[in-house]
Amino acid sequence: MKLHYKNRLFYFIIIIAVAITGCESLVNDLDESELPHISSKLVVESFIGPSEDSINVIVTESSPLFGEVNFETKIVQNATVTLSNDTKSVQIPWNGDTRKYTLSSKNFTISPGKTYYLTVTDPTRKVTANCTVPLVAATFNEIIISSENKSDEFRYDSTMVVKISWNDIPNQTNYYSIRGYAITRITEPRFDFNTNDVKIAYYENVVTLSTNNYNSFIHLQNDINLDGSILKAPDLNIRLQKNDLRKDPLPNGQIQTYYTNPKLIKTHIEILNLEENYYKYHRSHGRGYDNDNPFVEPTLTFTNIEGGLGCFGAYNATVAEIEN
Amino acid sequence: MLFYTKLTLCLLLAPLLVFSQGNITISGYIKEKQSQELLPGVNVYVQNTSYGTVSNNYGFYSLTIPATEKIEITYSFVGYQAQSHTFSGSKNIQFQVEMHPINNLDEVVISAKRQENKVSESAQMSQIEIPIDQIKKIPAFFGEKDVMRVLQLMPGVQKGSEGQTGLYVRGGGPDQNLIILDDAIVYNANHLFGFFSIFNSDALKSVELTKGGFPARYGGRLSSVVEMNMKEGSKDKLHGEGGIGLISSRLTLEGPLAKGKSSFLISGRRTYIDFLAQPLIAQQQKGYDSKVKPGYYFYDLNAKANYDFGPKNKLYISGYFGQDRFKVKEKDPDYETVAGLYWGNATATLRWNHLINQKLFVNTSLIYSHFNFEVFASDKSYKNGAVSDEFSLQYRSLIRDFNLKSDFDFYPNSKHAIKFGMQAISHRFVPSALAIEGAFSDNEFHIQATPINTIESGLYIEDTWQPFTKLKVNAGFRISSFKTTTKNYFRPEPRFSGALKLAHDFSMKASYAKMNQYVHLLSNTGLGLPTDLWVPTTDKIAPQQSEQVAFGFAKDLEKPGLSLTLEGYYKRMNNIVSYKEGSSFINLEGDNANEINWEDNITAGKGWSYGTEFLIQKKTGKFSGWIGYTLSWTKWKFPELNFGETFYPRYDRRHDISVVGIYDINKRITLSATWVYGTGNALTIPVATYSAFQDQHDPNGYISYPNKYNEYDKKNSFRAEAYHRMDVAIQFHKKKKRHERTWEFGLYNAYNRKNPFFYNINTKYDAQNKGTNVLTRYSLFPVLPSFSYNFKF
Repeated sequence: MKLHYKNRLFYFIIIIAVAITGCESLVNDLDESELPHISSKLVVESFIGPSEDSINVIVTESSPLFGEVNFETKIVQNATVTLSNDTKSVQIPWNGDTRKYTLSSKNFTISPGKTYYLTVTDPTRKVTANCTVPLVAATFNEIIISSENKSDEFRYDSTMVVKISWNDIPNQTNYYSIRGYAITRITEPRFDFNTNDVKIAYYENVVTLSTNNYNSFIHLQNDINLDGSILKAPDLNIRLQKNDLRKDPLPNGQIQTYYTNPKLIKTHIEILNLEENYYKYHRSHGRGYDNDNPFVEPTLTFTNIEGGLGCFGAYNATVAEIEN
Repeated sequence: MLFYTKLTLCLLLAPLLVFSQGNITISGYIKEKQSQELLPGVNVYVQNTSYGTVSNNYGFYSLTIPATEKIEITYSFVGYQAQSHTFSGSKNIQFQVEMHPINNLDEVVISAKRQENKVSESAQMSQIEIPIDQIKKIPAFFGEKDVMRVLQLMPGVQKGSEGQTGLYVRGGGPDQNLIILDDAIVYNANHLFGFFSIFNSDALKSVELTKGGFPARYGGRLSSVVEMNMKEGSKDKLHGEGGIGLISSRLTLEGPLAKGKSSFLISGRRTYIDFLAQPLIAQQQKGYDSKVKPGYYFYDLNAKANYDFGPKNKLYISGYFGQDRFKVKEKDPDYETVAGLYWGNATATLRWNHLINQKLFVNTSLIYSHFNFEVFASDKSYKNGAVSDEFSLQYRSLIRDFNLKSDFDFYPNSKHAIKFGMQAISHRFVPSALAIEGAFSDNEFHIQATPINTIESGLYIEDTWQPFTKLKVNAGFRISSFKTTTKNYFRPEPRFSGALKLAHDFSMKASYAKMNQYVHLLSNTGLGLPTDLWVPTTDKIAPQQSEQVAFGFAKDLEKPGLSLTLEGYYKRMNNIVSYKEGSSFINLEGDNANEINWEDNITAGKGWSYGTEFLIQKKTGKFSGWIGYTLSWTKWKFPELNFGETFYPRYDRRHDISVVGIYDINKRITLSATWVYGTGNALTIPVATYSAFQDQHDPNGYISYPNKYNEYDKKNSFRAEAYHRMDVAIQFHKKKKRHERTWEFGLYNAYNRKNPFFYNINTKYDAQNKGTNVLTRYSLFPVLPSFSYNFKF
């Protein structure tokens, strides 16, 4: 049978289609020349406040994403870090122990309302940033520390709940952060590095206050629509073990019987009136974890470091210490 | 309220009535001879004068002219034989017209519904009408003819991602299109995640898209109006039309119910990918413990019936019902999971045409519209045959509208054609309802966002006025309002569109339109996913608003039958909404699931769009088609996105070209091809990674590990590769004894261009286990052949 011309055309189309689709894949890597070209940038993080003992600057560098995979944090040690205000300029030296550039506040005072300039240079790059320390700090309205028993934790432990409220600074947009720690004491055995022995004593612990008992966190809040009102932080927890009667063997073989007698000694709370840069930086980083979800708009990470990444931010903190 | 509206309008219009003394009125309905289908858009005019009118959506015309001894009136419409009738011009006449279709392929008319109504003649600008016949000849994706895809081939209208039917008109999003099917607003026009639109072209009579210079009768969306009308159903005898394709089959039946008085139309379509794929999937899983059973189908049903009570009253009832169902079932001995996504639209319209007198026509519609969407998942784990763990989730969202509208057409004299009317929509939104059992806690939890009930209304008047021969103007005014719990938004919307004749078949046009949109679509995928959420204007979220000015030229070249339009536009949009960065429609781990307060996930901003559109169109002859080119810019500025800096939204497109060609070789063979080109989408991709320690403040002085973050550069600063594609099709028509059949063979993406659908970052490892990050392009459709068999009787 002779194929009618239209049938021939049809077979021709099918053959071509199968040939083309069968050979090539729909997933292709882009050629390097089509990728955005970007070089490594300096990443600078420094957060200053009048109440701090020292000024710390962490300098790292970014890795271009395309190309060789890099997981390490590349700390830059050979940078020149200069901090200045309108009248004075100092160089912040590298500190090998903390792996930061550190300067004691005695050598350079951070004052409320002042603007500071940070310049970081390494052999090939230079970045600059500035920030202004908020003029005023917020005042606490109320701090309530109450203990409640939480059965879903370790059953007999008690959890102290810290409820904090403060007065918003009126007639301006404010950003806040809350942080703090508690000093507790407990009798327990510990290894003593001086005597190379286990010693049972009434030891001090410093624990970070957080919304749960495990994570450190950076809490951020603003006063949008709430200007001048009393603001509240989420409840912060301090966990204390239950008072146990314990029997522990001492190195000399004797058994020591004691009560652990856990006690809250002191609670240290800071309310930070943040400069906007500090707030934006931490907010955009806190939200970034969901970026692998294709249904989520990617969160751009904020920076105020000109020519680089990171943040130079400031705050003015109010400190409250409550002794028990 | 309605009474007062009428009264006010009558008072306003009184001078026009006085002016019409000594005139006569000729009015009536225009129908197709055979099927008795009413014909909208027919030109009715007195030869060699400027007296003329056009039949309205329901085929009614009314022409008032000075009384003379003898009047010759011509009726002309594309695809039909023009006819002239002579009347003695001393008293009012009611005259019903029956038009004969031209069944001559050499005379095939490809575009433009009105033969005489050249683009240079109309006061309206930025408007495109697409005859259904033409849609059936253009190559289609998988052979499925789609109205929305043909609209995407017009200048000023852009597609989104590969294969999607959403329309991006002059920098607006797919949510800013007012899509109306027989007066009912359609919220989600997508089937199969946006790859097909819900409109079955067999059931449609007309499709019209307006991009700017909106007449006052339309309101409620910022960027475009797509008005579709279903066929009424043939009144002479039973007719059928259908097709069998690769993806779906469809069948339309229409015929008389009571001879000459009443007729019906019913049209259905269903996909069968699920049946076809099942054996293949089962084959692949042979020998595995775990059995996955995915299933997907959609169907839609259009139905319409009408009753003709005589020249004064006509009644129509029509409805659309469609559902998409996607379900995945996975089962192995220890585990069973079912997850799915259902969505669907339902609309019903009851219309009553009433002729008050020869000059005044009114249509009153009562419309019901419903859109629902549901995601569900349920997991069961088994241990020793007993259920050991159970979890289920259900997420629902819906919109329900009742809409009452009355539209008056008033023809006081041949210089004026006035339309006025009102509309009130009662909306009910349930933006999200979530129910979870098991897993997170022992307690079930059901959260239902409070349903939001609101009223949206509009009041309008517009006049198509021809003050002198060279100038034609459509001026109108609309007042729209929206009521939320505590606020009442009242927005005036002036509209203007005018054409000034500069020379023979050459006119200059200008328009201005202010629009308000009271419902918003939240979308963060850019795909036509039903997960996109419709939300109303609230106390916190203001209505979206736009102002558009357009200016252009229209030229008709009679000899080659070409028409040319060149238009420039500038559009400003206010209060457009977007998800905040890092937000999502369903976010179980965040606070959102607890509060389900969608208002907190939204941010509002501004947008601008400007550009130039050029269209050269050949409407008649053996070879027809068009070339469209758009040069445009769209910019957004949101205080909370991109740190407040201006950025290009994803679908900003600098260049957009479409070429469409249809060639009727002879009566039996039609060849067609389309080629499209578009600048790549603006996307956000990470460019670098870095470590951030943040402000650690450990009281013991410990330093914890830094987190790794991506540097994104600026929002949407990466341009995807350009999109281009060619489609071709060949149709073989044959008239059989009782029916006509068409075989169609097509190729989608004929030269197999690998267009980007999305990009992803992948890590590739070499033999030494050294990793390299690459950007991978995922393409969706290679060259796709298709064939279908269509019949008509």
